[in-house]
Amino acid sequence: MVRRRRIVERPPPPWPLLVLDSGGLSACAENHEKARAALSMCESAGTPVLLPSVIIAESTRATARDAMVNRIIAGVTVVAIDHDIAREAAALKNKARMSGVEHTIDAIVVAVARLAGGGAILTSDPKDIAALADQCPDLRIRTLIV
Amino acid sequence: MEDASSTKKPEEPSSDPMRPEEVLPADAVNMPKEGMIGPTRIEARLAFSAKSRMMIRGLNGEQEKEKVSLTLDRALIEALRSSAGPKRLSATVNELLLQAVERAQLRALVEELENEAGPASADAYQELLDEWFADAE
Repeated sequence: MVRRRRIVERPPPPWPLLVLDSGGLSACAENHEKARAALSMCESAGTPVLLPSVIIAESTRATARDAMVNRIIAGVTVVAIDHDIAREAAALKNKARMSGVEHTIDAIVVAVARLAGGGAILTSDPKDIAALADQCPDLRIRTLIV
Repeated sequence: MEDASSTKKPEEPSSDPMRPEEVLPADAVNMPKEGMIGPTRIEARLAFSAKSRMMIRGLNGEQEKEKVSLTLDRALIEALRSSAGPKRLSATVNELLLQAVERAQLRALVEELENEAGPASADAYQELLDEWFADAE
């Protein structure tokens, strides 16, 4: 087992990019400490923070109540869902034997991470995301739980 | 007599360096699974590589372009040309500016969050690292 030195200040992120799902976005909007830590680590190293555009549809209502979410959206990189991502998500969903709208959105989140080369996914519901990420054995995609 | 226009081959689609399928395999598939300091080094390379940035740009599709005239340091332009090649100068400058803008936006967000609630504790950072490296031990 590798013994690690206890960290005392903000470390650089070991992940190459961070993707937010709706739980991750929500935790950022609520200024959850762990979400803040993840964003802060990314900022320190210039590591991209990606938000699949479908998460905006899932997490906002186009009202004034979106203000806290909107400031997070303004600070991260929104990834439009194109044909390639949609096809990748469909394949992942099929491999993981999943179906339905909720799983489709999870599959899109993992597909974005996969097509961008792997990375961490900030989520409050790691089970399904992890099951989809398991379908990508060639890349390291891991969940960070908030 | 056959019409010359009917034998003309359709134009090949131009190669787009932003498309993910053209840059993914080299870094992602052939990436060594283990190294002296494990995944940190492997993935840090991806995080800072131009290719990784290009992949993210590729995921966002082709952006509308506008031609502008800029006055830059000659030495800087020559350095960019020598590293990126003369035909890639615009794409390289575009990419560097995009990185700078995205990083500034993220910095502003993090500063706002930290002003409200203070910096995250060492425990929060440790938890994130433990989760990322959970299966690496």
